[in-house]
Amino acid sequence: MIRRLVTTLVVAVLALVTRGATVAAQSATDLLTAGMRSYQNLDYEAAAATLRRGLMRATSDTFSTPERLQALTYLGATELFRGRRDSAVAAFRQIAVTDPRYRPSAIIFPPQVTSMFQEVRQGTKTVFIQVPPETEFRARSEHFTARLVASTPHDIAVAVTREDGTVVNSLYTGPIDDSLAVTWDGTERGDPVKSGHYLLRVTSRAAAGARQLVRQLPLEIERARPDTQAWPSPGDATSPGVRSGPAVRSLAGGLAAAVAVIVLPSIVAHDADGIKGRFAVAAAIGGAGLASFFAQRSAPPIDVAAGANAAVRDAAKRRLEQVRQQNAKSLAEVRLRVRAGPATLLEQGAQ
Amino acid sequence: MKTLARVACALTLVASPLAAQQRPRGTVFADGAIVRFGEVLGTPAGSFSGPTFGVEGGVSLGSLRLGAGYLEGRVQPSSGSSDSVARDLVEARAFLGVQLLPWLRLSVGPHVRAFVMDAVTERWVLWPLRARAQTALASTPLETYVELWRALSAKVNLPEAVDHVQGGEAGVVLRPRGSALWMRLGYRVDGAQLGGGSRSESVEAVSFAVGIGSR
Repeated sequence: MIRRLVTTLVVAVLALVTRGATVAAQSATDLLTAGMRSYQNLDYEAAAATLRRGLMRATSDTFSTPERLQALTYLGATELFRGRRDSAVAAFRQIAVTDPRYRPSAIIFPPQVTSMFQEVRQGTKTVFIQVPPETEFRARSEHFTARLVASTPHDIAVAVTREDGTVVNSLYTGPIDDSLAVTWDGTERGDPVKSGHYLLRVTSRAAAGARQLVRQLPLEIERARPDTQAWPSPGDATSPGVRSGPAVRSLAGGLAAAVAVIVLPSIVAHDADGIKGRFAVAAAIGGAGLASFFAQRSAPPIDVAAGANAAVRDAAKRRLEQVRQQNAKSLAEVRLRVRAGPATLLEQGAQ
Repeated sequence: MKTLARVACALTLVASPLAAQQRPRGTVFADGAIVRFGEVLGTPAGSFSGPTFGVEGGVSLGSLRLGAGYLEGRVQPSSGSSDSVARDLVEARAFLGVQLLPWLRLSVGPHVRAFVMDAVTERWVLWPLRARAQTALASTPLETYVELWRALSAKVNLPEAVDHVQGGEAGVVLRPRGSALWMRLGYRVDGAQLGGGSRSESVEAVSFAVGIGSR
């Protein structure tokens, strides 16, 4: 009995949760549609209530950014026509901090709405940051570039900071009109920054007494491992004079093959007579081994070949020095890999 | 036969990754040899000798090598031989090899040998596994090699069962610098034991080959 009751409850709860999520998703869209219809029917009270409910329910799962901007535009217009200017300003301000290029349709909305939106947009001083998701560059000699787009011309301060707000490098302080590209060479007081988490902070200077907006972008910076060349083998720099290894190996190879010719018949075919001609083959092989051995041993002595050896040594040393310099240069040229996260907006109190 | 299949698969598996992205290289050579064939049936029963001529070609792709060869000649009974029937010697072989190390190559493949007489043909079908070591002699254009092989499988149309067949070869290769042409002087021998030692056969040859292409 109890088990049946528990099962029924679980099924009921699951059904409610599933249905609830669907209803919430549908309600947000439905409320937006209903709010727009109420606005068009000049029922501003209902429109405001409906749109606000819709926006409150709307999440990234249910409203795309354009839908949200559209809802805010209708809400701002509705509040304007309801005589609630502050609410209208708040709605339009949310649009201005979300998308710098968004404009209400002049066909759908009357001039009062569009001009007020323009006024709010111009008064909302913020900046949008555009950077590639991942950038790799050489610290000092190359740059990480961020493109800033302003909602309206104003003064800004751009800096790379640590997560606690400590300034690593101040990149720009001054006015921005429509857009601006700021660059950073990846350094802190002249040295390449260490791997870690940083922020690109753009602070929009607000008028005295107003709240200022700070757009910040998390940067995950990693020092890429420098590409260095392998050291030349030590043999390159040593004397190419007489070495006994190859000579002995040649002699051993020749003699082993010669002996093999002589003993093979008795190893693989006990009854084989053994062609006498095989001794000639054995002699040829053994002779070849001896010839190779003596050719190696009779290589020019070091003092005779000193000139050639010195030239080879000098070339090897030059090569070594070249590799050393190139590696030192590679190690000095720190490569930074920068991964950018999603930007966030902070509102700071009045100055 | 399963052993042969396993060996061939293993060679292919080892060589396939190594052969990837390589250009094929070919070699071909002609071979002339003085061959001696002997058979013992308890006591020496026959001894034959004569010249043979053959050709062999191969293609290498990375460390993988595929080749085939053919030779034929006629061996005459030597003086004092109790068997006085001359016979043609015909051999054909194909192999798949892999260069395991710069100086070591393993290969496996069928080797057919026939002694053709007027009335009857003695036919051998072998599957030898060969290991060949070849090394250059420093400061010379010469290389030496030693090869040993043993048949993984051997069949012959003789009444006695085959106990084992094995062989070897050694020689020297002259490869003039800057030339694709090469020459080889070698000695090879193989022996077969049949019927628990009641019968044995051996083939020896001193050969001289001229070839072109990679080794």
